[in-house]
Amino acid sequence: MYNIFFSELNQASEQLLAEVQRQYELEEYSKIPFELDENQISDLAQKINALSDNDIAILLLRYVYDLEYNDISSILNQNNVKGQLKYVEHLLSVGMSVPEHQSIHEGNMRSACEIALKEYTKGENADILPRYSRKFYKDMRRIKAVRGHHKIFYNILQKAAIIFIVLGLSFGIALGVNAEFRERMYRWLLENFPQFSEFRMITDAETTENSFEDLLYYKPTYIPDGYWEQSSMELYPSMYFNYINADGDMLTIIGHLSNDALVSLNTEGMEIEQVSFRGEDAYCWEKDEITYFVFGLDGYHFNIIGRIDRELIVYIAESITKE
Amino acid sequence: MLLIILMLPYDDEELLKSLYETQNVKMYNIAYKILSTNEDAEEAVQEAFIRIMEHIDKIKKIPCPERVPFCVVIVKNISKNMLRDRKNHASIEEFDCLAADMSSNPQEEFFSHMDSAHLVQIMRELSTSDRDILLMKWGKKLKYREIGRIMGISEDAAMKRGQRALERLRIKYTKGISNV
Repeated sequence: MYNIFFSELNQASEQLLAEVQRQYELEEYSKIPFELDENQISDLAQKINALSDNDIAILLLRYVYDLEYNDISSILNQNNVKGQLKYVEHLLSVGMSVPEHQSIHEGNMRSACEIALKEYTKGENADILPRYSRKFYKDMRRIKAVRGHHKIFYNILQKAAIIFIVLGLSFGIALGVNAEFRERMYRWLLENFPQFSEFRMITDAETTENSFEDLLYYKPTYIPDGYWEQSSMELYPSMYFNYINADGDMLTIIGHLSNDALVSLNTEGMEIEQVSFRGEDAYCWEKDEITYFVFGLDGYHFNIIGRIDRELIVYIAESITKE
Repeated sequence: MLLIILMLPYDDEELLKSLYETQNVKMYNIAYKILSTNEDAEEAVQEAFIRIMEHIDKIKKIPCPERVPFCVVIVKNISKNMLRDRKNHASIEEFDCLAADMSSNPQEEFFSHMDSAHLVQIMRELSTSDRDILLMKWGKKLKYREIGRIMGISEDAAMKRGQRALERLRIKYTKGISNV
């Protein structure tokens, strides 16, 4: 029984509320302003914060941010903002014992809203790290809220003390006649400098039909526990996935179009270990607790860099598959 | 919408990005504390940035220090609305409250012949103060504690006023039915 009454009363109240707000919207005459003293303004601010969240937001956007009714309406996705505001002002006036033919002075309302805003927005700690999905980042990039990741990416790399350069190359080396090369899918050109080493992965353009569009289908299917995707970027000839854990440790996976990319990585004072990965040459080393793994997959050049064990890095590399 | 996005001037784009970089974690935390799930919090943050992007020309006129609370207001509003939409309004607490409201004189016919259109008609005939308290309670879904704060009275006094208004509504309503 209560259920029926509850439902009908809710419905009737919502209907009447909309009707009353429409009446307030049409109310054109202005009432005589009623001035409040400082204590009353502070009391009014407390009353504002007892209102519903919609009403608080309308008041704050109107009186603190000076927004027009139609802007408030579209920001809050609300109809009849003016009527809602006028009705709330009526309720506050009643609460403040303002005579019926008067209304709270606009300046007082503004001051009270400024106090209320401080209360409404205070004490919001940011102690949980967001775990945004890949779709979220894609959508945010689409609305251009997320920066083209090169800045973020280079910040990350700087923090990890890695020198990393990717260049688009017009690779003019004649390789087609090399029979030994033909037996393998690719080979590495490795050049060591005092502070870094340059890696070029060379594939036979005649037998390997790789493309940047195709590269973008490659993704890791395993990421160690505790890491979540922080950002991703597609920037010809490379694509990047950046992961982070609660300790702030970064894990970066980068895929390149082989013949178009020259990659320089920090190997200063380190011995690069040549290992075998899926029957092909790959390179691994550790520097400043960061593990580097350079390998090839289906004719694409991949790097994994992160503060994690070598076994895990190889496990991640093995998990990279074409979707 | 994509067209608008692509046409964002460089300065606006930079502002949007800097708001995202400085505020997204805080906004996520606010949304998460209201909505309790990662997916919902993410949706709220995304919706907030879409609305910010759509009104970036207004936001850039807001002085820098005031932009932070602005973002908080937006994401809080979105999160609370998402929560409200997902919540079943008929909570047990509200039923208990209603039972208390009606305990003085429950009448079967009052419940069995409920008709919201007729109820609206009767509510229009109530005094402004009765109408206001019912609209705050059942229209705006405020608690008596909040209504008390707004009206400058205690929670108990607000509840008594609410009960009296409901009782007057009931009497008018049953009279209307018996006259039919």
